[in-house]
Amino acid sequence: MPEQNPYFEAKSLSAGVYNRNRGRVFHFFRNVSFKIDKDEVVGLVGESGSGKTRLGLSLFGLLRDGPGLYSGSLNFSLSDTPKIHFDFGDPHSSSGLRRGLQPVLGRRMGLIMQGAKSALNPYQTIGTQLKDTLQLAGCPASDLSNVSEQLYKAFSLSSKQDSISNRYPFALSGGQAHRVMIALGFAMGPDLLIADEPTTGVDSPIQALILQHFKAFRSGELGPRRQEGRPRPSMLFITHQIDLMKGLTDRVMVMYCGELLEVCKTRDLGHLPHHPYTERLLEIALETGGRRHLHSIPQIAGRMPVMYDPPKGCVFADRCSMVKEHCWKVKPELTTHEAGHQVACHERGGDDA
Amino acid sequence: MPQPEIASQTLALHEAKRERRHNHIAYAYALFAAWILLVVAGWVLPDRMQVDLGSPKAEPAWLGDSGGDRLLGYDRVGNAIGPRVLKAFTVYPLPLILGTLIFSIGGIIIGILRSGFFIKLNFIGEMIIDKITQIIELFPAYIAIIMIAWYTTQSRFELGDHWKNLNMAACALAILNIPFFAKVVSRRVSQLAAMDFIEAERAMGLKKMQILYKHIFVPYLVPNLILTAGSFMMELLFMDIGLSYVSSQLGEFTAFPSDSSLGYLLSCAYRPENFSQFSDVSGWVLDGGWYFLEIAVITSILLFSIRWFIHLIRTVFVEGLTHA
Repeated sequence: MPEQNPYFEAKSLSAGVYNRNRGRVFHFFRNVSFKIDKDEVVGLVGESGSGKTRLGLSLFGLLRDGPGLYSGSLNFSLSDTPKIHFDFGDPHSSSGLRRGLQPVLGRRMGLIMQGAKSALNPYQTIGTQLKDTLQLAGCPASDLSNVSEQLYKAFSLSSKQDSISNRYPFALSGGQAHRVMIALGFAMGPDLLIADEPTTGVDSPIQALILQHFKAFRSGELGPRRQEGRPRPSMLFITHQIDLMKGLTDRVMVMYCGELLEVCKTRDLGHLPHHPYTERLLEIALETGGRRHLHSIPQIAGRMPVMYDPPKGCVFADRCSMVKEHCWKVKPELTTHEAGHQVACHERGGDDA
Repeated sequence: MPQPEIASQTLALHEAKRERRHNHIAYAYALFAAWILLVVAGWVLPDRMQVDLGSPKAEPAWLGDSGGDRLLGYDRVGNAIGPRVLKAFTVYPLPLILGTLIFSIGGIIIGILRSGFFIKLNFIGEMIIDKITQIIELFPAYIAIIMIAWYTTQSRFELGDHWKNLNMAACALAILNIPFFAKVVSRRVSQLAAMDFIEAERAMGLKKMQILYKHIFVPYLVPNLILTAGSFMMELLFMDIGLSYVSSQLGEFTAFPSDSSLGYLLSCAYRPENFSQFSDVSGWVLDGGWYFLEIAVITSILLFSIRWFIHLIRTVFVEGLTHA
């Protein structure tokens, strides 16, 4: 059973940075608990600034400023590798986490970073970077050119007239750089891939193409050959477009102001009593996709709370249309409402609803 | 139609720029090759160029006993100047390499330590490094005097051994260059370590040492190192000319007298008795030619050090290797 053997599990994970001038901690995210099972794609959705990218980077020990992760624990149980466990009690530097993850980074865990242009080495050609990545991931030398060509073709990056392999990143368009970055992520052939907004900043046809490639990668049609017995890759797909979740992810986690507000199965999206924030996201996605006039596109009024002073009660209270008196005072916990559906809301299946 | 015209103009400009750049590269390679040849020639020749200072009109063996006049004439004891100018330039490669090694290794170690790439220093550690570098930067002359004074007390110090003392002086100069290079390294490393592509490499599982070598040192620090080595060469020339000129004015038993030092040759130029040694061949030098030599040396050094030499080195090592 996949539930008994999660690939990855985070318990009560919190991260932040201490601001010496203000004398307070700026929270990246607080008390985030989730798991990713074997052969599962989990979507993490939320608006800009909600802490999605920080959460993704923290799993690789890449939070560079301040104390980084300061509480919670991480468990990695990737196939054919010893279990890795980290417990962050006191203020802890994330460099220890990076050292511990060194054997699995690249080969078993991969990251597709946001901002493709800046994430490519400006001094190396695309071909060199792709081949280096493949070698690092343990791809045999005989397969290097085949896999590279396959990736170029799949991502429409090479033609008979022109090949991208001899170009430097500055010579790529934004969409090309994006596809190269995803190709590099796939080239590693990881068991656990974290894709940080891989479809942001590209046009709709390319977006559809990228989603197709993610499916192909998951089914093993794209990327280096997987060894016999190795499971299909699991993914954490970070995006701010909730409508992209359908057809790609198995579960969806909704994040707001550094906290998880809802976790549900993707197929249940739109059929459940959702958190008010999720409902608003779904509405916006639906109505923006319906090509309404720009002035009539719905918005969520208000702004996200500053992460120095998160509210004592519900973090979404000041923007919520269903807010009640106790929402300001009592913090709703993420509680199971139905099977596989967790909501942190007093009004929608909360503990004291 | 305007659009194709603009396109063709842009293309033509681009082509012209590329051609110019290739010309620069060709000149730079030619000059660099000439410099290498000069140095190699100097290394091959020195044994034959030794002359007896006590016997006037003695010439290097490789010139033969032609009895004719040489370019740039003869010095006060009758030694040919031309070959000595050639030889004078050949003493610099070793001090240059030695000094470059010292300031690059020292600068890289201190710079990386200060950047916090490997170890996050605490406040006291950062302060100690900062203060040491600030003191060296504020009082370079005092530090140099202390180092040279210490060296003169050592048993291996020998008056008049120009080559050995020049190497020692190069080491002192290199130590003074460490703070400057450490700052360059520290700034570059801390700037690059926060960039996304370095983070991406870390996420791929590359170790810090691999990242430092492959993605920071080779593409970003080596050009800086070459430029700093170029300016170090100029400092070395200035120092040698200055010290050997001053010491040759002080008397015979000085630290920098040499038959092949540029400063010594320069000091010869001011002695009136040298004028009688000149012949018709070097008559143009006689008519204020020594001053011309001095002006030429200083001007060329200034030009080299400020702009042109930097451009040359950059063209050869950075653009030349990239576009080769």
